[in-house]
Amino acid sequence: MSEKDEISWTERHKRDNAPQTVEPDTAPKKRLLFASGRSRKDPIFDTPVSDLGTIKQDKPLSCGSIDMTFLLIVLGLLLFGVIMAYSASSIYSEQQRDDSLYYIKRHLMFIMLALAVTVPFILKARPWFWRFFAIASYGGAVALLLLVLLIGQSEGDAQRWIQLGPITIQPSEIAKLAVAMTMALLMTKYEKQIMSDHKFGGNFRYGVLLPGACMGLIVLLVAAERHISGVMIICMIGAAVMLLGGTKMRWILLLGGAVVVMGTLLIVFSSYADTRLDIWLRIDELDPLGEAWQTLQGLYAIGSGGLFGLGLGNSRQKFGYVSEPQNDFIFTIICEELGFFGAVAVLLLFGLLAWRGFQIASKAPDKFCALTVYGIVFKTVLQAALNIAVVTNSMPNTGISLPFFSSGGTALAIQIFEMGIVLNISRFSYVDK
Amino acid sequence: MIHLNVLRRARFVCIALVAVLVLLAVRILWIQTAQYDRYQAKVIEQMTTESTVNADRGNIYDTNGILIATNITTYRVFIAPRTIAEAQAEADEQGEDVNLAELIALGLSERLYDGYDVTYYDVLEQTTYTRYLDRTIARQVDEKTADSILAFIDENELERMVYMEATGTRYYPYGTLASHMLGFTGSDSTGLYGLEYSYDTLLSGTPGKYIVARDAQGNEMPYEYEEYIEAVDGYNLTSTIDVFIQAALEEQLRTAYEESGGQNRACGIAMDPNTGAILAMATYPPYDLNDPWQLNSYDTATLLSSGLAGDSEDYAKLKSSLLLNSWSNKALNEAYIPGSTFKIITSAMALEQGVVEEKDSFTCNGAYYVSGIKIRCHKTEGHGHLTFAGGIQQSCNPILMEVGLRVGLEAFYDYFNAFGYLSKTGIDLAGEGNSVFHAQDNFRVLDLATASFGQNFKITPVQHIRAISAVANGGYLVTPHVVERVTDDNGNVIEEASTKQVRQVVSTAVCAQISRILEAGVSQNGGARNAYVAGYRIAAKTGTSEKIGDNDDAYICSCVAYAPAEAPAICALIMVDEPTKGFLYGSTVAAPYIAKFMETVLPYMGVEAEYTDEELAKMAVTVPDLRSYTIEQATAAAKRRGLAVRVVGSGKYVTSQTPQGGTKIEKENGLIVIYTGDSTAQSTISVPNLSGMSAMAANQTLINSGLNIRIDGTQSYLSGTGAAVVSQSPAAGELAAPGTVVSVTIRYLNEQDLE
Repeated sequence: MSEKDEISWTERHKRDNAPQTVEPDTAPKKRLLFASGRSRKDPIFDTPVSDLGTIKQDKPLSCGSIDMTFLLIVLGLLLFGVIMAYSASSIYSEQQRDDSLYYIKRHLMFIMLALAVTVPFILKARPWFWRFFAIASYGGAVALLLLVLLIGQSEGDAQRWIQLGPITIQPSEIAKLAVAMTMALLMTKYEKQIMSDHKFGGNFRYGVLLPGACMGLIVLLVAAERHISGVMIICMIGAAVMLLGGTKMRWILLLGGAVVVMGTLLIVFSSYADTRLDIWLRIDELDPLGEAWQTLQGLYAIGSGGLFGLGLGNSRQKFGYVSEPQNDFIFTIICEELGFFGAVAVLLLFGLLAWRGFQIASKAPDKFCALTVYGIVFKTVLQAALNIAVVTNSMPNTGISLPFFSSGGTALAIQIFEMGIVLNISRFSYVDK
Repeated sequence: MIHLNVLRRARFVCIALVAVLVLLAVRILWIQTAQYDRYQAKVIEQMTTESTVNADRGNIYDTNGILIATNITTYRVFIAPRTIAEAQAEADEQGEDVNLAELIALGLSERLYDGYDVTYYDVLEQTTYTRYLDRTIARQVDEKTADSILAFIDENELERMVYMEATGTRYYPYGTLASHMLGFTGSDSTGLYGLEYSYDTLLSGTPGKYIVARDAQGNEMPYEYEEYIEAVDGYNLTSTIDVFIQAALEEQLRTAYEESGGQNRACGIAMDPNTGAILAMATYPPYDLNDPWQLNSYDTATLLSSGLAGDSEDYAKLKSSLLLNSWSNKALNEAYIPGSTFKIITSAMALEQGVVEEKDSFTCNGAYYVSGIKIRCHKTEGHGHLTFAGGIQQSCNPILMEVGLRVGLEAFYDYFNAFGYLSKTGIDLAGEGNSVFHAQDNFRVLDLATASFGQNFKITPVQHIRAISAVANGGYLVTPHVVERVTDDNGNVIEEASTKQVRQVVSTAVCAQISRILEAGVSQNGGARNAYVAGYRIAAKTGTSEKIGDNDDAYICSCVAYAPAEAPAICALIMVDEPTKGFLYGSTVAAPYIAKFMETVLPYMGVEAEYTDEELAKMAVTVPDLRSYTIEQATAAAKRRGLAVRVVGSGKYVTSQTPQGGTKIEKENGLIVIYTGDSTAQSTISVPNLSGMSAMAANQTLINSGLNIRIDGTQSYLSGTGAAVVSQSPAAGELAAPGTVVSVTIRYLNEQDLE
């Protein structure tokens, strides 16, 4: 594509005024999920729900097969994750639960559960469905975040979980997805205004204020949980979606600056964050049994693995030295057992996920789908990078799990579902006639 | 199709993400390569616990196989605060009303307060270290206390919270016996003094190791890091020391020191002159090997009289210097001025050189001029005409000076060296002191003159006894040693001491001559008469030296002796540093005790007493038990022993007697009072004051009072003159029954052998 071809979706919409008629998928409509809602109007786009929105294509929307490359990458991560989750958790599991399989069984259970929920969506969902899903998830996230403040489980200062029978729900994980999708929706709906040269009522209101408010509500609620890493990740996802959605560069830079200032203030006024920061800076002076033990023991595990590792299953640090080795610090066990090559394999898989995910996004049928895929892939890789940065002491310790690897839980299920969204969207594209 | 702008921004975001991942890979690479060694070491360090498997320290036996140093088991008591905290949390959860920390603190402090100074709050404080699994509460806890703690643990189910660990502790069955020679070990079982130090490597063995990998909870890990290296126990030592001889020497050192009011410790050595085996080596006062950090009573008195506050730094300093001093082996470490005892050596040189004959006649005018300087004899009026032998026996300084000068500077110096005074003896104990003698370049005639009678130089007691032993054994210098044999646990001999003859210094004939002269000095009228033991031919020489330097008014009184004179089995030296009470001469402060020592150990060593007729006549007799005898039978039995009988009462049979059967009394004028019928002994006689009387006079006085005498101390009172009673028991003025034995101690008091 060259610069000349650059036309906004809005313009294209005007040009291709004719209603979309082509349904490339020849399958009967009732087999499509929520296909019956076709006649209803999309509350945001103000168009029939089956209409993908602001874009009017001259090519028919085709529903192909899912992106196999992406699927393989995801399956690779999941498989690798299962193996390492078992290796890392077995000892801890044995000690805590008298059953070395406890955590891996839980891990597999969540994978099964997540696949059972996700697969139908991959197969049946139409791209427009995710717009409803976006709004629903946003509403759900806000509700859950409020709930968690009322009845949540707390650990230390932080209050982050809702116990639901055997399952703990961490609403901030849902909130991340909700923010990404809802903002994608807004950035798509108000694309014209965002692109306009009017500051107020134009690119600032719709490019910054509206998505900012959408994100801000969630951020406030997550901050009320004292979940710093959650706030940070949500802000970064939001910023990424805004950036990709077309917010003017100057606002992005301005917001970036503001975030830096806010973050600094947060660290200064929160003793909790302050302690973490202090540990980060003085790590090597600290007592390995003292406050920095989590991070230090993680470093011991990584460092002592060497280039080639101790061999799968041979970690020494998982014997109670690395804190909950099946969880946030699982990457250190990977490094210890599989060495630098194991670590690179993990990084490579996430790198590939980013590459392929972004490719899918660039071919997505509409801007909303594209931004959704961007947001999800960005979120996943960002979490992985932050987790690895934390355990390698490249940044202060804050509780971030490693997607697909950290043992079981709703977070794993949500991550799988997110991959399902990407895979579903990967099926749809406008094909050349 | 998506807006190009979006794609461009997406590419940027994608590149940024990938860049972050690459940076992280670099970071990991750095941690896993550059930091590998460090983290690897840390992991191994925190994961493996290397417990030492203690090697049992070897036992030490005396020459007869009597155990004198061994190990006993004591316990280290420790708690696991982390487990306590966990158990407490569990108990709280289940609503149990129990405070484990307080329970443990109470239980342990109750049992460990006495003897280990563990208070309730000490334990409570330790329980607050909740990250730890091992906090020590007390060490070296004895078996009995440990049992009590074990019962406490069982009773309250504290198995995973309170632990005990057995360790070996050094134990010396005889406490203070041979303390300076044996030495003791530190808390880490390393020998600090004496044999324990000198033979530490052989005694300590090689500790084993038990390396085990543990997880963070302290449980053993199923990994290849486990390793067990068995400990090799230390070797056992068989010392040349004989517990009996050692005890006898220590007993005499103690009485000599206490009776003479010694101020700067006393020491003694007994050695087999033929082999160099040290039979006993002691320094008085001793210290308790089982509690070496406790000051002895003398030093405690010094510390208290220092007037320093108990918590002051000076107090602690003084205490530690007193302790250090009390641990040093005076017989080995400290050089002293030998005084007249050295005349044996000068005589041996002179006779060997042929510059004098035994019968050569000399005249002592009370002083001798050397290089124009007048040097006095201890007998200021002079000994008059004496043979050379007489000069040695009377310890005449001028005669020895003259003879010494005849030997000459060079020969004297060479002999001095040949007798081993200029080098260490090579005894197998660490810390041997050096002698202090004139450098050969500066050795002048005046130095030679004073050296001839043992003044103006210092030698160590162990050097001296080696040289004296050379004279005793026929001229051979041997190397003294305290360890006879090193064996392993199965009795295999690892090392065995053999007699090391360094060289023959003087001829056997000369030695025999000197032994004869010295023996005659003891048994006849010499200065060493106080060293006489009836039945034994003892060669001895006393010495009194003025201390030079630190304490000019003080003396060192010493005596060297060996017996039997013609074929010595034992050679002994006793030295009292700075005596203060009574006559401050070697002949009174040291010789009587060496006599008692010889009297005790010679029969023990199997040396038969050979009494002369005169000695037999003089000997004490044992009072027969006459009870139930008729008066006639009793009288006859007493007569056979040369004792008189006095009958009290009118019965036919003896019902009681004074002295009791089995009591020893002097044969001469001995009296048994026998009671017949209903009569009993009445304490009616006031014991007379015998102080200052001769033995004969004392005997007569007691006979006149109807009492018996038992003489302690020198036995040759009948052939000598000038010996006098210095103490008696019962004391003067006490009431006693007729026939009661009064023990008196007799000493020659006019023996002024001060050089």
